[in-house]
Amino acid sequence: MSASRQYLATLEQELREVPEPLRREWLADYAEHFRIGIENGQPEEEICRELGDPLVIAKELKLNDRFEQAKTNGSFVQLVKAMLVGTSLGLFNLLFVLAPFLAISAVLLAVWAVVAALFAGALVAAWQGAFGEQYTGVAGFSIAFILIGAGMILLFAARLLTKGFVRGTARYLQANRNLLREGRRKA
Amino acid sequence: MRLNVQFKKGVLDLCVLAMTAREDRYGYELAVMISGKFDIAVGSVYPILNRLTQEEYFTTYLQESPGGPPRKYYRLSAEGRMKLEMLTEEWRTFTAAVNEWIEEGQRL
Repeated sequence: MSASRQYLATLEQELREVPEPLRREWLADYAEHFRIGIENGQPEEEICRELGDPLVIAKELKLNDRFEQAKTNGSFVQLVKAMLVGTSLGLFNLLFVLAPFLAISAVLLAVWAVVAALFAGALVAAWQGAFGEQYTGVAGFSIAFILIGAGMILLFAARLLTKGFVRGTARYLQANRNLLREGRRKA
Repeated sequence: MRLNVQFKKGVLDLCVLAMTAREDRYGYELAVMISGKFDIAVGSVYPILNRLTQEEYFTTYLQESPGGPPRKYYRLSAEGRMKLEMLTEEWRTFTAAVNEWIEEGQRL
């Protein structure tokens, strides 16, 4: 197999989970690069060397793309996917990315749990007001409305926080990735 | 260090945008030119081009090359031109400030 075919095959293998037509588009860029280089009379091995490690290139392509998606959508699933690529970059990153991520995730989860508890509490209070003995209907529904109000305010805050966190993490990961890349170059 | 990295990224974006300001260019040209001036692998330029395209600073099209299959060209969009102006302005302010300090330091 020629060096260029080998290179493109490795790249394709590394990009296997990238959906079409994106993957084909990315691979076409590198295929075109080889074609022009060969037309210019450059040896294939030299083109490969100049292009750089296909594993690194594949990661850069994926990171650039997924981060964009995570930043624009603020989608949690996208972010977790980007995280997985990020962590595979090295153990250093694992510590630096995963620990703060998990810590803040836990806090956010707690906030969402409080929101759920407030709404559940409102239901219970309304039920007690209507059918229970504990307090009168008016008192029960008043408590229910207060709880719903508090729940809605907190829900709004929790949504804002989550969105901010997702965006922030996307940026944080990008900074981390750059840091790692810089470190590797120096090593 | 972080500034350094962000800075480098900004500079690379600026260079790529500047290189397409007067004429549309194909990926190979941009990759080789950028890599020739900066400490960056040729293959790492394409992810930058993809990102800038995704951010809609570039539009791309295929054009026949003399005696070969078509090549993918990058054209600066209106947003890209605005981004280029913004980055250029930042760059000028930055280098002016740095130059001032360097000259201050060299003064006897």
